[in-house]
Amino acid sequence: MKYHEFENRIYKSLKDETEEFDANQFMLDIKKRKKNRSVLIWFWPIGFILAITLTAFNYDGFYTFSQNNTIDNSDLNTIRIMDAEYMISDLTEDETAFDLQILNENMSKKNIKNEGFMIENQEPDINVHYDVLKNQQHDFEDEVISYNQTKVQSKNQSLDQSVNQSLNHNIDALVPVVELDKTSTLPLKLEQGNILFESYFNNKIGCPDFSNPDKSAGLEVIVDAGVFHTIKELTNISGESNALTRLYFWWSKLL
Amino acid sequence: LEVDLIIEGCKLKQKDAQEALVRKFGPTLLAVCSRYCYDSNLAYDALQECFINVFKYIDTYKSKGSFEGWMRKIAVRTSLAIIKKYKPFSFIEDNKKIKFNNSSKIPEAYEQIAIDEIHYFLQQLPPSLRVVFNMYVIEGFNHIEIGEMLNITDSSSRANLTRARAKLMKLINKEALKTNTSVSLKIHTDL
Repeated sequence: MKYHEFENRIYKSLKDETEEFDANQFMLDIKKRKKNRSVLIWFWPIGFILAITLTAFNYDGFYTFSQNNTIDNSDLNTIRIMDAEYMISDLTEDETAFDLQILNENMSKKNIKNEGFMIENQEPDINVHYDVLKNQQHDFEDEVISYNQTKVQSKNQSLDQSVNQSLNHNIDALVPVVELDKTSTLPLKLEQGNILFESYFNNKIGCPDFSNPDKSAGLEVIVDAGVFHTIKELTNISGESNALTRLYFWWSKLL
Repeated sequence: LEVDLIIEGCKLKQKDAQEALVRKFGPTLLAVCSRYCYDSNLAYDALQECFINVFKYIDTYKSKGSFEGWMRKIAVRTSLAIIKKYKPFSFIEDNKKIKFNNSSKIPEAYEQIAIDEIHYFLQQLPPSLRVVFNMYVIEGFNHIEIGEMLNITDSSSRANLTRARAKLMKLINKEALKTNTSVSLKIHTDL
């Protein structure tokens, strides 16, 4: 017999070859496999959303930020570092015109949340630029009048004084924070190097107790610190500034 | 007609039709999978994948050509995917020409070869050669199809087939020689 005939014989033998198996068990196994597969298919989007959500929650707690003037060019384009809450406890009547210098000093002293929020090198001669939304000042004045007519004069005086002081310190303006019995926001932006802080001052409690300096004034300061440009050194950030963080940034923008 | 009814039932996702399909074609397809996997567990896994794909894509079957052929193709593809995953193998692409004469003579002892013996020889072939041999000789794919499915060139497929044939011939001759020696030894001791 020649090889090609032999190969033909192999073909004929194997072409119709069968192998028996338990069809009932097979159907059950297929069902199980399909179920597992559907779980796996759903796992990824759910896992992805979970990861985003976890990042969003952890975002608040995990990121601490310490910046100095050496922060400069790096590969990171966008990271959002924290939303921090901070109670200004030593706000007195004289400081109703909220001074960013005080905010920065307070921030440098105190930890925000349990991770700490430190801003170093806050001397007036460093290149700090505070960009305040000017139109907020008018709202403030109206609110102050409605709050306490008797204190309007003094408050406006203190505002003027603070503005003058701030101009001397190369600060564009000061933002007074007063609004009563409701949550108000006075967004202001300040920029230092490549870092943009967006701060919101909320009065959640109500009337700030200016007469008692030891008591909390009921002001909540929320600070969004975002690096919107490239960064070279960001050594003091704990946590991860990874793709998910960046993704969260865009996610939060979408929402 | 019966197969057509089963196919229609499967298109409507009827459980009975799916089970009937498994009962009708399962044994044949398991044999196909076994030829590629040479491991009963992997073959069973490949068969499961194969039927899952058949149920999933049965709507794309346009009743052109044999339904069994269509399923066999799926079985081969899923088996290849499984062995690539669990028992990876690679093809050696060299231009060395191997001479093989299609008219070489097969030892008489193997003229009436049994299925078990065929499997015995095929199993001894390296996986890359066995796969090409199976695809060309038993499934009837051409070299272009084999090249596409295995991600190799058709000339490489040809070379691998020639190697497989040469190796098979060598194995058979070797085995025949062994058998002859043992037979002659037996005769010698009997004498």
